Amino acid sequence: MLGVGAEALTFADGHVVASGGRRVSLARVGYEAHTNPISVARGIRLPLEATRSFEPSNVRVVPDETGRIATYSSFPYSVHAVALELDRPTGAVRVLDYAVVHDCGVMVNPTLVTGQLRGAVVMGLGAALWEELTYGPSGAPLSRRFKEYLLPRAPDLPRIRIGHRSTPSPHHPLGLKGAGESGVGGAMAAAMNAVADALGSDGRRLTRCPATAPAVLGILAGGVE
Amino acid sequence: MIRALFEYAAPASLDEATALLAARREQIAVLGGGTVLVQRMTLGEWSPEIVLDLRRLPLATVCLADGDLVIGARVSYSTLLASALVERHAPLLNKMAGWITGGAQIRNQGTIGGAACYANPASDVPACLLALEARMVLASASGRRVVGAAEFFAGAFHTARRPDELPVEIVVPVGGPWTAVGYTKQKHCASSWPIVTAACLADAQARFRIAIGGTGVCPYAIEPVRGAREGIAVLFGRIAGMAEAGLSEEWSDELAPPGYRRRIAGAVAVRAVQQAIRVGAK
Repeated sequence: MLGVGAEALTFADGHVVASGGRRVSLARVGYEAHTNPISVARGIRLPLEATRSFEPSNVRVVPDETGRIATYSSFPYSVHAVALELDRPTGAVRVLDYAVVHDCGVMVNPTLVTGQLRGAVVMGLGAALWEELTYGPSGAPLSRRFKEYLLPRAPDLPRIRIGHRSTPSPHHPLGLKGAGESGVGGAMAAAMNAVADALGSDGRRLTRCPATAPAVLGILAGGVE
Repeated sequence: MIRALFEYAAPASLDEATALLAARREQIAVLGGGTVLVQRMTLGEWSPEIVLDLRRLPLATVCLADGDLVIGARVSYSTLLASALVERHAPLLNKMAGWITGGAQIRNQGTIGGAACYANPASDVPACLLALEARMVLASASGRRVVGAAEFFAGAFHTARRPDELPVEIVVPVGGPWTAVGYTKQKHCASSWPIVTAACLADAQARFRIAIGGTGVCPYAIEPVRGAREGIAVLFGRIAGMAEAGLSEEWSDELAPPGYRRRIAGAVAVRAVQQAIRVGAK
């Protein structure tokens, strides 16, 4: 295309530049290579692609002397706070306020990270307070529809306040970490801790989730759930 | 989708409808709004040979007649909410309809007659009709029969309606002593069905009529009267006790085990009373 040998070519600003100044865009080269390979250069082999892999230095699959492995290069962090109200006569819980600050390193698309986190928090709240697969004495499932498996709906939830920090991962070339996973576990733990706190000294007897109204009422009446 | 074949009939006259019921009573399902029947047929829980749709019968109006509020069996929750007659003469039904979740589709399709005949303990309509001492008007090929709410709601999913009868209208007495109402229901969360409901009517002399739903296999009523110098806390404690004592056979289902409804019924009843008192105080 440029009529020179490979040694006379450089790459700059998305273009292939020949010594002497003539240039053609990489996009053009790619297009010609796929539609008219003979005119591009000698010895073209399609497809034009390259694969490169990166191994984080802190991933270790061979167990160390104590048997530990490390298959994840990085971990996101989050802090969750929830305010809820426990209705003692019925055991029902109402979530009043929620805040989470999350650090997943560099955020490529903050809107997606926020959305991911919001969904994760709702999943965690559902798991802590309402969602349960139940079975009858013969093992037949009793939770067959979303009328028996209770998912949170908008009226059940407060505005979820979300903040971000960004501590780039030193083990990743772009500083990325995973986003959203800590939302589920963090929300579940925060909500369960809040219910236990609301139960006061009875809180130590809250040992399973979801903390449904009948379960909480059972604890208030002196049982262990 | 509904996989079983079935006949469909939408007669234009009550006589045609009751004749069909009489002839096919063992294999026929009466269709109100369809929010229960269509779902059960889709799930394959029930495969009637013939579905009798009441949509062409004039059963969807609300009017005053002979001093009573007459509500057609096919009146929807939306119609209850929009009706000035209901708001004035049976505000309890207006309040109850406002609590119905599921969105506009459910409020537009679900009917008061259908809900009453389904008699699901975990629903709103039965206790409200018991509170109002409503009368169910049932039609069959042999004529009409009127059944009071207390007798009509006989058990879980069980009413006094005979297989050859269909609901025509619900009659609510008007002009009684009640000056304030309260309605509340306890649910685990928004998507849960009602666990316990309480419908309260109050008069100016601190007499109350409270119908409790969801707790027993059928709704039941208590009628506490506040003593001349009875403190409010004492009254509420007494009402809670009456609510628990008035329960004969407790209902339980997937959402709450036996014992739970009995334990919370009193608190829910008191909340309905508190609402009515706040309304009455205005």
